[in-house]
Amino acid sequence: MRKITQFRPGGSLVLVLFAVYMLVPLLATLNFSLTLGENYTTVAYEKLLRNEALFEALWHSLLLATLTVLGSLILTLPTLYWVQLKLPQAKPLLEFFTLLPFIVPPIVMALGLIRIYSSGPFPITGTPQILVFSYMMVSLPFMFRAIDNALQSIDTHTLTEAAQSLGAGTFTTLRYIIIPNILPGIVSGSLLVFSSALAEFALANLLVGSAWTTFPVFVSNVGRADGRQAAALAVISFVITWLVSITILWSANRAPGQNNISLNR
Amino acid sequence: MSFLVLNQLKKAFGTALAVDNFELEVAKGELVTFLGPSGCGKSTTLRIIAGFETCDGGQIWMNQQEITHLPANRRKIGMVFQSYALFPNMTVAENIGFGLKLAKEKPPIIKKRVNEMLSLIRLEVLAQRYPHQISGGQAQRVALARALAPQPQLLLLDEPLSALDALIRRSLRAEIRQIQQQLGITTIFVTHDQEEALSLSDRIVVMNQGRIEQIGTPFEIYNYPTTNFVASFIGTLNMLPARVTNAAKGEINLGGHTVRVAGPLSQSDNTEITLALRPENLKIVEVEEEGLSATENFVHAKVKEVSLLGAVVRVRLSLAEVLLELDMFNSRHLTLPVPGAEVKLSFPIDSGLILTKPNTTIP
Amino acid sequence: MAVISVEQKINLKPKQGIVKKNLAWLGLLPFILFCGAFELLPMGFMLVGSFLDTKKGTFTLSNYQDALTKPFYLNAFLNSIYVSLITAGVGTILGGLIAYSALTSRRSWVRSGVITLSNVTANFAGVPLAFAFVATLGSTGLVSVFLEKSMGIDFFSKESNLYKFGGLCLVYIYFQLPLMVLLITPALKGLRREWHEAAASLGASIWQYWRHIGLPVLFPALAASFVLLMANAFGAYATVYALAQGYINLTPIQIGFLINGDVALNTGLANALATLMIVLMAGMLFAYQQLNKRSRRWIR
Repeated sequence: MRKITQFRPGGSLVLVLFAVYMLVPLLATLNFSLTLGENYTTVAYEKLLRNEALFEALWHSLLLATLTVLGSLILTLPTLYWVQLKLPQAKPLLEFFTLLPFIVPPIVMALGLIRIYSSGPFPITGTPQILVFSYMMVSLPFMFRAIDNALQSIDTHTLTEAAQSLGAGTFTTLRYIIIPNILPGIVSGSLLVFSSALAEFALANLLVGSAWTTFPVFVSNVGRADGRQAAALAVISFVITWLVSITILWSANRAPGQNNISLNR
Repeated sequence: MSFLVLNQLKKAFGTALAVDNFELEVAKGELVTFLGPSGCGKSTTLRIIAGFETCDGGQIWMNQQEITHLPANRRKIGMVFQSYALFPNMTVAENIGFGLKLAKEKPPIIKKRVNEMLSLIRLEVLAQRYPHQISGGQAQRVALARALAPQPQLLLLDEPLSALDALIRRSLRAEIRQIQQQLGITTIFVTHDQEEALSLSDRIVVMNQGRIEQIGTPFEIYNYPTTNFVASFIGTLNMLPARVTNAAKGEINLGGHTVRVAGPLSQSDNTEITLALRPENLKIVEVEEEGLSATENFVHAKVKEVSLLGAVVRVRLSLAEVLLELDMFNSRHLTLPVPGAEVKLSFPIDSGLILTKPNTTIP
Repeated sequence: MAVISVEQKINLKPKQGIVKKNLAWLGLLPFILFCGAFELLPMGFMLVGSFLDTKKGTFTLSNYQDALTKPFYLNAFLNSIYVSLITAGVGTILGGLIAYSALTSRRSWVRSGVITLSNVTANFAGVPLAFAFVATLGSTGLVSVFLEKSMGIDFFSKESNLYKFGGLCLVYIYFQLPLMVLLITPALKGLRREWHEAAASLGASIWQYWRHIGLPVLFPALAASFVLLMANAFGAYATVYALAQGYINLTPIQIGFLINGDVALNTGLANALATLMIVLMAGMLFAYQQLNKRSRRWIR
């Protein structure tokens, strides 16, 4: 007789099939990127490494992701602290705003953004600025959730009152009391935003395109011309994703109650 | 033959022995408590009886039938969990009726039985509430009703009161006992709380490290502990270091006084031992009454601290270098001892318990 | 000092309180401005633009007429709905089974391994994923070639199936499965062992437990995950763009063409398509809320 709660019909088979489905494309791609006919070759990787545009695109994406994280933190953290402390009734409004990017696909947002920011007082279409702002918008749910969870897991009110009774102002309280206490949540949210900004394609392609090439756009442009380089770029992208995901997992383990889900479309 | 027979139950988790050679017979309608510290195997034993854990050896017989290998859902055993475990998606009434629904009873019969159970736990007004809308004490009563509704042969309660606060714990304890006796259902109750065990059991099984230390009525367990562990686990004990001076006469040296314990001692002279004394067996006396010295020991001690616990006054004293506690009943006419005062203590010669292993833990 | 401050509070609270509350809203200004500029305004422009003629700028309903009657756009819409429904459905069911099998595994490395694998692969989507699948199942892809050589199955060759509907579903499921595993794991962990045991002690078989307790308790999380997977697939652009631009007709691809294509720049129609997408998503959310009404009674 088995323990009743260990009932899992065909469980191992399900897991094996899942692993095969997830791993075969990766292995096949690695193999494809390294073969030419019957022979092994690293020519695709050599071509890529000689291409200066690759490094420029990588640099662009890293810069973009970093700026997005910073912008998102500056926008989200004080606002959420303020709402938690003084305006709990404004929470549903904020939640509505953070739900929108989940419902409205980036491609749809891109439509309106192009219309507004191509001309007029803020003609920033085609520049990195619009990507920073629109990435902040697209990744708002991840940062918002992470910081909100973290703020709710500590007693913000009592901590603030304790700090103020000792003479600390709002900024000092935020800087020395609140932020250090929710740091795991901040790190977790930042990494999610970072990873989604690093991989974003639709907005980068439609709003900026080749005027300021990001890594995913570079992958698309080069890859569509050469299948072997495409496979090599997929491998490189996977390695980057893997590195970021492992970091996210590692940080999420130190921030209990944080989830680690971002959407990438 | 007894209603429930547990024969040489064994269970190991990896190399750790959780239950070792567990033997028990429970009569019909009896309430037996498994008492012991956490990790002593009491819950594991209960879960083996319920069918949630397999046992590595031994048999379980219930009502003359072997059920060792019967799946949990065919044992007709009701179970109440520490965490209530009410189904969150069902109302109170649906929770209580679930077992009957599974037994394919007709809706009117289910309804009637659910109402009976609701009135048994006096929660008729909460029938349509969901579990998250009721308090812990109410939830546990519903859990009890749910377990009892299909009229199980045996009721198991796994630390049912541990998640509740003190006041509700006491009232629910009395209620569980009352319902159990009213229905005459054979019950096993697991707890780590000795007061709970002493107050509601017909018999107590004291367990430690997977083994049974002693089985007996609450009176036997409290007053006649047979092992060091039971003596120290149940009630408060003064553990006093002493030395055997005359084994044949049962005389020992306690902080410079020679005191007697009942009967000759098996230890040889000059052995270091521990004398265990319950605080309520010690008395402060004015004068050494003649004639009593045949049955009582007398020693001198100094009062350190007096604290009022309600019905009981606890006095901390020092006897030479040894600290000990004494309990006396509170009353309006009591003259409280004064800290610093020298007093004379007496205790019956048969109230002391000799422990050979120097046992220092007082739970 | 403490006394004075208490008195101040008591005396001044009613007057100052209201002013303070209103001032407190000022603290939200940056956030509201940002969301206005980058969420509401674009959506507003899109909505208004969907009713305007692209060339003349006058009011018209022809954008919607085109979007809903021209077979080309209607098919795109239906294809988008099919792909998202199928991949969200498959993702929800299989992903749930995978997560459950992993969580109930007795080996801890299996549990953590599945979570790690899901984390990495859920984030591996878009253009690189499309290329990976081309390298695997494309006309010269490793698995296609292997299947052809070893079993003589000419399933993926030449006019490769990967670029067709079924192939697209395979690619989408690749990121839907791990996403589902991550989404449903917390809810599965919330299923308490005691519920199963309590049900068993009341006579429930494994199926009866799942039918009456396990699935009803999981339902809100399953439904929410399904909606999220659906939205995820419905709005996906990068993957299909890189995989099969021009081969598979999906609404996001059409929108991309209409605003970026050299041939048919028609923003009005793009806006109408986008508005319809949002309406559909809102409809999904509404349906989800209706479905969840029953569960909401017992959820805290």
